[in-house]
Amino acid sequence: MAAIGWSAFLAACLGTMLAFAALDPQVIIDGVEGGDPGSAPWWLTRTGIYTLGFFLFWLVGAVGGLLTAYLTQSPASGARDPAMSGGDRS
Amino acid sequence: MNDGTAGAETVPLYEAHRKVYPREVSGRFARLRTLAAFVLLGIFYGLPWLQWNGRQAVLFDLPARKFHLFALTLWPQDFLYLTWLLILAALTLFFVTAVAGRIWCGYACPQTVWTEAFLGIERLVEGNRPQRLKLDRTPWTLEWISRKALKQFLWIGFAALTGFSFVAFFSPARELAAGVLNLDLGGWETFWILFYGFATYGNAGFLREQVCMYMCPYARFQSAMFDHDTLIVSYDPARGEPRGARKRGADPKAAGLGDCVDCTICVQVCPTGIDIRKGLQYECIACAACVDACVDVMTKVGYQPGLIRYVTERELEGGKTHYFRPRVLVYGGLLVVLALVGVVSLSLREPIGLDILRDRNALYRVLPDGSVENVYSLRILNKDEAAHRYVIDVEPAGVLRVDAEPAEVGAGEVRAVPARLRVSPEDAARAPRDVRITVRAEDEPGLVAGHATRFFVPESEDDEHDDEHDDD
Repeated sequence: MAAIGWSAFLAACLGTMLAFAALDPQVIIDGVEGGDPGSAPWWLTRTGIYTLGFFLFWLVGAVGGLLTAYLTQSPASGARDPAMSGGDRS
Repeated sequence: MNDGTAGAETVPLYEAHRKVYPREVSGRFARLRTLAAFVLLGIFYGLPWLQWNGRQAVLFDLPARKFHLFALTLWPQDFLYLTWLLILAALTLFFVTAVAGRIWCGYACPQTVWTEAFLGIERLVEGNRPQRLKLDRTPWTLEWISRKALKQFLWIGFAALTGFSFVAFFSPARELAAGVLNLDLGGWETFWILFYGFATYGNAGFLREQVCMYMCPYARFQSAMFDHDTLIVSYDPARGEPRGARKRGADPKAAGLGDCVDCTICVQVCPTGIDIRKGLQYECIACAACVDACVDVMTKVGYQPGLIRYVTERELEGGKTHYFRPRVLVYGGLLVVLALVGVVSLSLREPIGLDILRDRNALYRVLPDGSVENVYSLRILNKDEAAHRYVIDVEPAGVLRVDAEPAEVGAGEVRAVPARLRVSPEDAARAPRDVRITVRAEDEPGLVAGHATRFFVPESEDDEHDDEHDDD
C-alpha cells in the first residue's frame, strides 16, 4: 500500500510538472470568470489548480498501481490475501 | 508486503517491524554526517531569504509561472532546461553511485538528514539509547509523558518550520512570513505548509528507516550501478571470523578467534537495524555509523581499526580497485557532455522568443489597388527582466513592405501582434516566396529573433481575378 502511494506520488510530481509547464491554469480561471475578474471562488487560483492537479495525478497513479497490484495477484492467492479481500483499499 | 492497514503513521505498517533505537556514535564519519546535515539544512532553511538584485535569489514562482535561479530566470518555454537539470542530477547520482556507492543515502538524502535532525531532538529530550529504551519500558509515568510531550512539541515545531521553508521556495518568502505572522495566509499556502510539515514529521519522526527499506526506489535499483570496484561499507570477514568474546589482552590466535569481539555495537548504532557482518544488504544506507563504532572498539581492545570500513569488494578479495572502468567512464563522459551542452546552450540563450502563425482564412489577399497582402500573427515572448519595444521587419526586404506597429512587451510577458507583408502589383511576380520575419528590441539591437515563413502571391497576374482569395 505504501509502495503504491509512494510511486504514485513520484509519478504525480512528474505529471504535474509536465502538464503545468504546457498549460497555464490562468486559462481555466479566465474561463470560469468569463470576463468578470475576481468572480472566481477563493480557492481557484493558479496555486489551487496546481494543487488539485497534483492530487488528481496522485489519485490516478494510485488507481493504476492498485489495479496492477490486484491483477498481478493470482486469483487463488488473491482470494486468501487479507490485503486484497475487503478492507480499506484507497 | 502489506498488512492492509493504510494511513495512520503511528501504526507499524509491516508486521515484522520493531522500533529501532539507534545508539549514538562519534567519530570521523559521524562528524562528517553532522557537518553535511548542518550545511544542507542551512541551505534549505536559509536559501529562501537570500536576495538577488532586489528579489528572492531562488524562487520557483509558481503563481507567476517563472523560476528565478540567481541571475537566471526561466519561463515555461524553457522547460527543456528543467528536464536537462533533472537528467543531469540523475546522471550525477549514477556516477557517484558507481564510484562511491550510497554516499547519497548516507550523507545527503533528505530522508537521512531530517531523520538525523529528529533523532537529535529525540536524544536531547529522551537521552541516549539505554535511557530511551528504559523510558519506553515504563510508559505513562509522569516522566514519560512530559518527555514525550516535549519531544512532540519540538518535532512539530521543527516540522512546521520545514513546511514553511518548503513553501517559501515556491511563494515569496517575505510575504509568506508576513502572512504567517499576521495570521493572514492564503488557503493553499496554509495547506501546503501543513501537508509538507506533516510529511516531514511522519517520515523523519516515525517511518525513518522504513522509507529507505520499503519506499525508496533508489534503494532498489542502486545495485544495478554497483560492481566489484564500488565503494561499500563492509565487514572484513577474513579478519574478523570466527568472532567471539575474549578476555582483555588474550591472544585471539591462541583462542582460535578472529578480530571481531562480537560486541554488537555495530548493530546497535545502525539506523536501519541491520547486522553489517552478514554482508552487503540493500537496507544498508552506507552511513558508516558502524565504521565509527568499530574503530572505537578496535582501538579500545588494542587491535588495528578497519575491521568494518569503506572498501570495495575487489579489495576485500585482495585485489586492487579499478577506478577507470567502462561504467565509470561512460557515466562520467555522459555527464561531462550533457553539462557542457547545457551550459553552452544556456549562455547562448536569447531572452526573446518568437512564434509566427499565418492567417488561417486566406493564403493572400488582393487589395483594391491590386497589391498583394499576407497576414501573420506574431507571438512575441519577452524573457528579459525589462520591458522592450520590438520593431518588426522582414528579410529579404527587397520589394516587400512591412505593415506592423512596433510592439511593447512587458518583462516576462507574451503578446500576440498582427503583421502584414505587402507587395505592389507590378512587383508581385518578383516577390520572394521564402521570407524571414524578425523582431528586434529598439533599445537593444542585439536582442533579435527571427522565424522563417512563406509569402504567397497569386499564381500569375492573368488569372488573378478568376482565382481571387478573400476573407470570409
